[in-house]
Amino acid sequence: MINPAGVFSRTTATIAIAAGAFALVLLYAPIAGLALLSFSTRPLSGIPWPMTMEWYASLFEGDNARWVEPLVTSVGVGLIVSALATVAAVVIGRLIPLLKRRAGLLAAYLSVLVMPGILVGVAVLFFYRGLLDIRTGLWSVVLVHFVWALPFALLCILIVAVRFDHRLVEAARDLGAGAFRTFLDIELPLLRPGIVASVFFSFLLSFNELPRTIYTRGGITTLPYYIWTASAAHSSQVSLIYALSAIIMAASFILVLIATRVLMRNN
Amino acid sequence: MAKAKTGSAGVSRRTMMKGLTAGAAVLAAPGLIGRAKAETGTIRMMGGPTVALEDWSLFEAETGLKMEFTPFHVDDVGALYNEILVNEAGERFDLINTLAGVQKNLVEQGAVAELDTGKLTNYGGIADTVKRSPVLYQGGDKDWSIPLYYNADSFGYFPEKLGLPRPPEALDWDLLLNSEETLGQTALDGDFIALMIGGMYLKHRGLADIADPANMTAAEVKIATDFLIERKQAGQFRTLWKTYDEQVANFVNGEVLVQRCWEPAVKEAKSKGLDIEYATCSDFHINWMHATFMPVQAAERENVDEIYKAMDWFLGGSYAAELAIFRGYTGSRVDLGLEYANEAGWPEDKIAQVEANIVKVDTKFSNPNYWIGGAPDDLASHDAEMARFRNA
Amino acid sequence: MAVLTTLWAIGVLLPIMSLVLISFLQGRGLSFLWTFSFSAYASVFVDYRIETILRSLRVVGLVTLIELALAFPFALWLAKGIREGWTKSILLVLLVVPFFLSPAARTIVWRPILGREGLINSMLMGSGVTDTPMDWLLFTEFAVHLGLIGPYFPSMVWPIFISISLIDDELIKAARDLGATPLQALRDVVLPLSVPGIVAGVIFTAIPMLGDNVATTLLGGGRVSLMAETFDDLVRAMNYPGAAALGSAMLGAFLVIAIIIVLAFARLRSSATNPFESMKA
Repeated sequence: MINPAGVFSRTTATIAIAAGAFALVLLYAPIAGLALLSFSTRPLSGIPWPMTMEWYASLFEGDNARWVEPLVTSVGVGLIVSALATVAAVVIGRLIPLLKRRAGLLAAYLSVLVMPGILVGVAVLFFYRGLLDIRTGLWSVVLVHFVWALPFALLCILIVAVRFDHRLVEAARDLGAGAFRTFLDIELPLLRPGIVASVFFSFLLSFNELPRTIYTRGGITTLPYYIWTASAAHSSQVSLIYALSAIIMAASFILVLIATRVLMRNN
Repeated sequence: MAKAKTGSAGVSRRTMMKGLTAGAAVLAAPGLIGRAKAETGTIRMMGGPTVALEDWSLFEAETGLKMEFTPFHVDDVGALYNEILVNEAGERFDLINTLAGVQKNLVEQGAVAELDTGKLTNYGGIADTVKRSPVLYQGGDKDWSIPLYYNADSFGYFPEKLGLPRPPEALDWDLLLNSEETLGQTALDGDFIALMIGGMYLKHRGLADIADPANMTAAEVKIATDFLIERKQAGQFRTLWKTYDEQVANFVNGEVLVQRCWEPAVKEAKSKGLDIEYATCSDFHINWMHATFMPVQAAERENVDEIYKAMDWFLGGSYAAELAIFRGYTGSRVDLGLEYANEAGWPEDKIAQVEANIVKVDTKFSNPNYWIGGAPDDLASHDAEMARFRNA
Repeated sequence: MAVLTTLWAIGVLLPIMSLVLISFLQGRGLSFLWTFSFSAYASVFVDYRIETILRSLRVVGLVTLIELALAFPFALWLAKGIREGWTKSILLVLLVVPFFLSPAARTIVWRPILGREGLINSMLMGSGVTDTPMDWLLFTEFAVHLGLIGPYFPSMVWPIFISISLIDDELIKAARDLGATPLQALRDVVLPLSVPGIVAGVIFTAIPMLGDNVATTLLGGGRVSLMAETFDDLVRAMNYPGAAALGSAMLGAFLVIAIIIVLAFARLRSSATNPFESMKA
């Protein structure tokens, strides 16, 4: 049987696959082009040949190799933000469906989403640096990324938490389990899909963040910031950025694939 | 909450003003994290990626100093001011490079150290037209910033396809802005330099009364924008660009016949086998300069003499000569550059490239000079009109 | 949670709300005039800026709808139409990897594809379909839409996928056993239960897209002016009150819409007690 749950007929499955394929082609056509052009001697021409490994080699030479540090910074910040946002989202998200007056609370957490990123950066800078005279740096980058990631992390948890049957928790309590044990043994496993999504999304939102970072970075250089700066050069960085993107793409593909398989196996 | 806010407004105003408008004053108080220690023997410089040659080995060999260069997106003036005034880049850097003209506000805010040009052996020989150009000079016979290099910008074009002569034979800006032949096949800056170009065009043709196209008043910039909107709606422009890569891509992908661009973009497109020239113009060029200053904080450092030494190197022959080859820009002492190239026994074609830069100064800078200096005084109007232009 | 919310209110909401204060100031460059004034609002709400805002809403709205139409069936198929296995893993991973890549680097690749002498035009002209290149492929609203669809597809698929995955297969099977057609099972069982995912997906997609300035600058050719650029430019021109005014207005609009939705819900569920309850399986 092709459809385990029985919502698909052969035709509807084809339609669904076609819709996904169409979008994936739009998504991956430029990415494939990018990967191909990363080998081109003249990447901006849009013609992949003649091919060369020159850009990959020069990525590791001299001043060009300076992307390593920003990459490490971005991964580090991403991990911190991902952990903080997910923990906060679990704390808030598991309780929101139980509250009577949740609309105001939800608005408080979600409304920051509509503020454009660059303004959030400026606001944080004015408030902490201008008003309170605290120097910006790693903490402020983490803060603005956290502000960006938390609403999304919260949504991830909420998708799962609204379906949560709290009778299970009550049952555990009745059986004499402590609050922490109940959380660990009952709630956490049930929330897991949301937590996994939250960890991923928070990390990725942070990893790619630029507008907020520009204003709050202090002396910190993240990868998107590094690439943005490189774009001010009156010479092309495209060849290097393409090669770098291709490397990141391959690495992230393998890492995420392993992570997915491990998670599925645990299921 | 609202009440608390108004209550603290008096205090917050002062703190805020202190933080935002007088970064220098804040520095007087001991920093929370402590200043980065000045390391002698190392120059820490922040600037546009264009400042750097292929690497700093030449600098390090000739000065005996180490260079720690941090690239910054200097074209984003707002971010730059923020980096210097609010983030106190001066504590972390010995030298800061900007588009000349941008430093003027910083001088007023007290973020720039006055230079003792007596410590710079190569400074005296810089032409007065450069030293005292409106983008550098702020009166009072004081020097704040040294010129690193400058150029006269115009546009790139396909001479063969358009049946047009090659430089040094001069063209004019009609080709880009106002021509039936190139309709829908030209491209222009996507920021308010476009408006300045419009202003220069109108001023030069006597079509509008504009005092300084690089620093227009609200009324002037509106006139310039009206003209550009008229051209945009006539279908003159294929696209507006924001980055260097877009400029090159527009040439290489065959999107345009004429494009307002940076000279290195033409260099790069040429190296890809395209028949493109960078125009010499009979009407005007956009003159710009990159300059470097010492932040006030650096003036008290132990390594201040080394900072002067580093500055002097930028004004020397080797930098001018290498830069002419590497980017095609004119160093402030291109005369020393030619000397250096000759002494080093460079091949003739390279020497010719250095000489071409001297010729360029004579031809392009002999026109009525239209210097652009980073940020116009009335930024808000420029921004508003740019939004109108883009929306049209 | 109370602690967290307090911290959030003081550490995050307060600075952001101070933008509302700034929006009533007059500013020039780096200093503010401390007098109450609406001038920032007056300077920002002019015809061309309003046009830009409306255009942004239209483009983002349309692309979000397209994403939903493409993503819902695909997410449903991923969740309920294919078994766990390598194919599913790889598809899921393909929906994550693009997030790692610089948006500018991959968007600029559309230009040699869509351009005047690009891949599509040379194919069309080579095969004799047309003689003249189709200029409208690039530097138009069409190109901006096309450039947006790909990158925001995963943001729509993920939340919907998660919420549908959570639906118990047995529930769907039971509906089928009771004689529901696949379409009925979809409408009566799956769709209502995936509403939280759809709502989250729309937010995940539309909000970041409103802040996207890459597709419009690289593919819009200076013709498709969108909001994100407006903010960048206002801040770049150091017109902080203006930027704050525009941002505050957006925040206000968001809150008004949210209140309307909450009130509408409250009226709707005079019978049902809780929208969250009713979503429970």
